[in-house]
Amino acid sequence: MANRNGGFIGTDGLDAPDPPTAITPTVGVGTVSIAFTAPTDAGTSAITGFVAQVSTDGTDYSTGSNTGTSSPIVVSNLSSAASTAKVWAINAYGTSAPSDASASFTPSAARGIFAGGDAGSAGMRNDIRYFTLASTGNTTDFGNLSAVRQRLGNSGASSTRGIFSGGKND
Amino acid sequence: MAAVNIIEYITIASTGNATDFGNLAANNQDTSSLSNSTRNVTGGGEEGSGTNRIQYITIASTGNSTDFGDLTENKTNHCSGGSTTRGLFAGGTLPGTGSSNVINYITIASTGDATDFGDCISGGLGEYPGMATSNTRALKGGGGSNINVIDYVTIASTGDAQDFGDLSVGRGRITATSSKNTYAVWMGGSGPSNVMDYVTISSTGNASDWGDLDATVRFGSGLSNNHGGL
Repeated sequence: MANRNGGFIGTDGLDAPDPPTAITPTVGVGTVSIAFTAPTDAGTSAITGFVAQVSTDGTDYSTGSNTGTSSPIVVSNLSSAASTAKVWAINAYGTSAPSDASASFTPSAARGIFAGGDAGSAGMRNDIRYFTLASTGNTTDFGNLSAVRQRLGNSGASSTRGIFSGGKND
Repeated sequence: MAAVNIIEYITIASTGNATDFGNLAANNQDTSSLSNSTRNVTGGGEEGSGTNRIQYITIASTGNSTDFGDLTENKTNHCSGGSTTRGLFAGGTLPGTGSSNVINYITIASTGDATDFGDCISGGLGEYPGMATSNTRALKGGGGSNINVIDYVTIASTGDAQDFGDLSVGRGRITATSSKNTYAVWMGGSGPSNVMDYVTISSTGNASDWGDLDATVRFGSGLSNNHGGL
């Protein structure tokens, strides 16, 4: 007998799947990849998909959401706030009860960086400034380039490292 | 001293000073770079005269740059960005001959010469625009004589750029970065300026105020840990 313990079930609710288990988050920059185990009891119809949702207060799971047909599901555009996730399984008859909440996770912050440049009468700069890309706002001190530099153009980065190449120091 | 060959890096999630990474093939100013999760590619610039050199490094390591191929033009003061697979170099100045509206593309994971993509809508505007990308779109804003034009292309295709909207304040000598698939943010520029303004990449329309740099700055450099190449 399936463990159908309520939740968002369909009109023929007793045929909805059991909830997924083993909800395991892995954070990225502004994202979380949510791994899970599909229920062994899919109800009386094959599972057609899963919904993963994120909450920052443990109650309202509308902070972020995505769907998929298998584990993991990536939820994007998240702020760098402590969060938990739940996953639901879906079949033709409806949606399972929610899974247990995941352990708490905090996505890495998406950051923009501005570096170097020419401040006119104030001279060239070696300043590195950053700002949070999840919201609007001013820049904050990050550190310094090894020397004053301008004319570097667009710079590249991975999710962890920012690279500054070339430029002019007079 | 003028142009430098310095490559240095920061750890974006922390704060602190930049650390030496290696060297470009030559002293190079007015160049522009792009990346995916593994490679940083630098194209063009002025190495005493305009160059079409494209060179790359592996971001997770340290060391000097390696030859990638050539742009179709010897260009400077251009902008660049890309998706996870394709990198674009757009606009800029052709030393001694004027401005360029040419967009080139490369396949980041390989090596080889750049291929023509199409033309910027703001052809001839030239100097020091800023590019911001999602996984699918590249937006180029500002440049030249305080231009306010934002135009865009679909990175996976080829063709000429289309009009997107206007910056809140027209400016050249600007830079840009992006929050993947959400915001493009342009920073600083002629004046100098402390303006930061943004658009939602997936839409079209004019830019809105984002915030302020701590000072008025032109010819700065922008990057993020969440751009369209990641």
